[in-house]
Amino acid sequence: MTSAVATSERTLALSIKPRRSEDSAPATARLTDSIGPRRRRAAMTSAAYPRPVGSPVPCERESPSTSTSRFPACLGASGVTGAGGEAPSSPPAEPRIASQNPTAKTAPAARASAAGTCHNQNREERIQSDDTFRDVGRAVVLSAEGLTKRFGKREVVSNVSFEIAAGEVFGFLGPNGAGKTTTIRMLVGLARPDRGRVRIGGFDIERDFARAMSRVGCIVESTDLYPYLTGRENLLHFARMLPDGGESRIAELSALVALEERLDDRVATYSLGMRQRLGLAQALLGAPDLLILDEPANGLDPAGIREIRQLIRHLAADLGIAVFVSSHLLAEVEQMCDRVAIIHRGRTLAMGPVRELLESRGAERLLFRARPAEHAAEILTPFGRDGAARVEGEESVSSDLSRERVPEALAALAAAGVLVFGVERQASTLEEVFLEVTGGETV
Amino acid sequence: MKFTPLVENEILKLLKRRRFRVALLILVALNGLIVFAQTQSRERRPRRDWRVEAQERVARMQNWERSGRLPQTQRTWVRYEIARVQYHLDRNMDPEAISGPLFARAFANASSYLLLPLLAILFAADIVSSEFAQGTIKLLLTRPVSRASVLSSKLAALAVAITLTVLLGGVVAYLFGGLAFGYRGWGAPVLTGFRISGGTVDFAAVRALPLWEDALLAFGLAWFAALTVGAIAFLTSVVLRSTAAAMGTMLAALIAGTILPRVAPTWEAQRYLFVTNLPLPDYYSGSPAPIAGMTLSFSVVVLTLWAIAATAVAFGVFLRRDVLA
Repeated sequence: MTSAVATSERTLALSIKPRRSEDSAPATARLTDSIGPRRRRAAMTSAAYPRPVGSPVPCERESPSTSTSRFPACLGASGVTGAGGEAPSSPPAEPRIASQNPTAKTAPAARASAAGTCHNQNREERIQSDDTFRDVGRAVVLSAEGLTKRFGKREVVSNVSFEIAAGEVFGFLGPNGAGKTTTIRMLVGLARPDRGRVRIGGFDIERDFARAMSRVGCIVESTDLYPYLTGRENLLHFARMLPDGGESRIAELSALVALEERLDDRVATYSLGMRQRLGLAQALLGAPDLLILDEPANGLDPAGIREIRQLIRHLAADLGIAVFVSSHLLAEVEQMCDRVAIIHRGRTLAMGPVRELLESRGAERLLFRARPAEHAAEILTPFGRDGAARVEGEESVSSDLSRERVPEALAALAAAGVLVFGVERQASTLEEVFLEVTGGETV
Repeated sequence: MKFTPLVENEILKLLKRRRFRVALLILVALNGLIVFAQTQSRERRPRRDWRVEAQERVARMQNWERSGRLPQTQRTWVRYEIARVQYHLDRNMDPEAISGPLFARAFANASSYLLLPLLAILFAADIVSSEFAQGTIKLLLTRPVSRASVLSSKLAALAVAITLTVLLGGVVAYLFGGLAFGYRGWGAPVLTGFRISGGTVDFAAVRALPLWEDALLAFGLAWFAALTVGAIAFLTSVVLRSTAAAMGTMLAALIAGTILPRVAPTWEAQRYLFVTNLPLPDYYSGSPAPIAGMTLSFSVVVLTLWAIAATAVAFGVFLRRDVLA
């Protein structure tokens, strides 16, 4: 039932292509402003996609899974609120509390129409009948529920749940061996979870594999394609595996990833960066609603990383594609993602919008410029909220004590004869959050 | 689900790789070499009247047989050979005649138990495992196509490649053989149907077929044997996920198949091994069965069962197993 509805919507979305490409013109304009050198390519892609800004991810009607409330709330685990604000056409996502507020009821309608998620003839009906939209704001594209995987007796992934909404970039962080790759393999059906399930666009990937996967483009671990085929043959190969054929998109996509000139060379002659880009073009062939990228920046030079980042932002913001990115490059994730989950030893330790994570975790960390540092640390430790004060340098000690206790702490330091030269707020990075939640293990 | 584009993909991948060209090269080189060797040896030994030669050969073989020093397996073979040559002599036909078409026919016999299976293994052993080695299996299995369709398309492409190889083998043999021995002679009669029953040769079923018909049957049987080996190599490719391991296993099996009937001709259970049953075209030309009691239909049934079982297990494993490579 659910699947039938979603499928018909998809067909509809494709069939009204001409009007929609007009609609997407403003998006193109914005895009060219924000991504200067990519102007031509980006414009071509926007036109190439049968779907304009932030749409039409098949709206899931009956399924309760779009409601976030049934998931164990990890840190700020709104599930689907998204950080918002990245797509110029959609209003900033409201705080979750807003959905409980009766006055907020008009907002989903505005969003739905702005995003063009639903179709004219049944938009009214949908908004009235679909409670999930009031909570969610945007359609859930990927939902993972309680994924658990055991290898022998060892549980490598334990009860991992999350949801990703259209237009959202979701970062998946974890040290090596944390269970990232196993989780991704379960998301795309390469490995079968022992417990839990994955749904893509409302389709359960075990029961409805082909329909679920027709909405997904992915790069799992390596981007290696067939080295003995040319770039074009590789793209044709994967286009033939799509239900509607992706041949027509090959030209636009190869332009998007700047491979037009080398498209007829064998992949064996490509550089690593070119292979990575070809892999991305392959992932985009089916005009997916969801992109799953495992370490997309691996092996790229800084310029290449920047290009990939801009491309991912563009895909999410302007085309409404949900992007799942696993990475160990924390700075990258911080710049690229709306929300992140931190996974360690198979468990999600933290999940939420990047901003919230940064604020909640490291915001109150203070750096004391004091001498002798060791002595200062001893004195400051009992004032801290939970962690011990750390000696960071010859004259600096960091502590997680709250703002209210600063005068007290200063008095104690002064009484002990420690020289205090200054107190500053330490800007926290995702790296610190990461180190904190994983107990100091490096990525 | 549309299936043809998938098969198209798999055939493209098979043909674009070096191993297909290597297979062609092997066929050309091997046929060329054999034809060259045969012309050379014929030149060294200038032919006299074929009738005299054949009669001398019969006499020589009869001496061997009477000496009683021949092992059991060879005695059967010698008896069959005496009967065959004598039968030809009686009908005034040259038993050692050679022509391009006859050379092609002989190629079917000679290649059915080693060369064609070898080439089938060359394709099959790597058709699934190479996807694992390259990591492309992860892309292949995350497309909106069921695993069963992916594997079926590979199986279909493999069947196409094996068919092509057998056809090309026949064509190349005919071209080279013709070059040395003349291209005509497809209509010449061939005597088939010699049967060995309990130490004596039975002529009851012997009949003359036009060569083209006989050759077609022989190539059909060689093709069937190669397909069976392909299916089994396909299974090893799925299970072992390593081309080298799959090839090694299959080569060991083939070698065992050529050795076993010679070193242990009385071990009867080996007739259920697939390798023992591969020389199908030999049945048609009437050579003695590798193991007493085996018949053409028995071998065809055994090979069919092996192929079905291998395919079923390959699907079972491929559909269920997690891809963690």
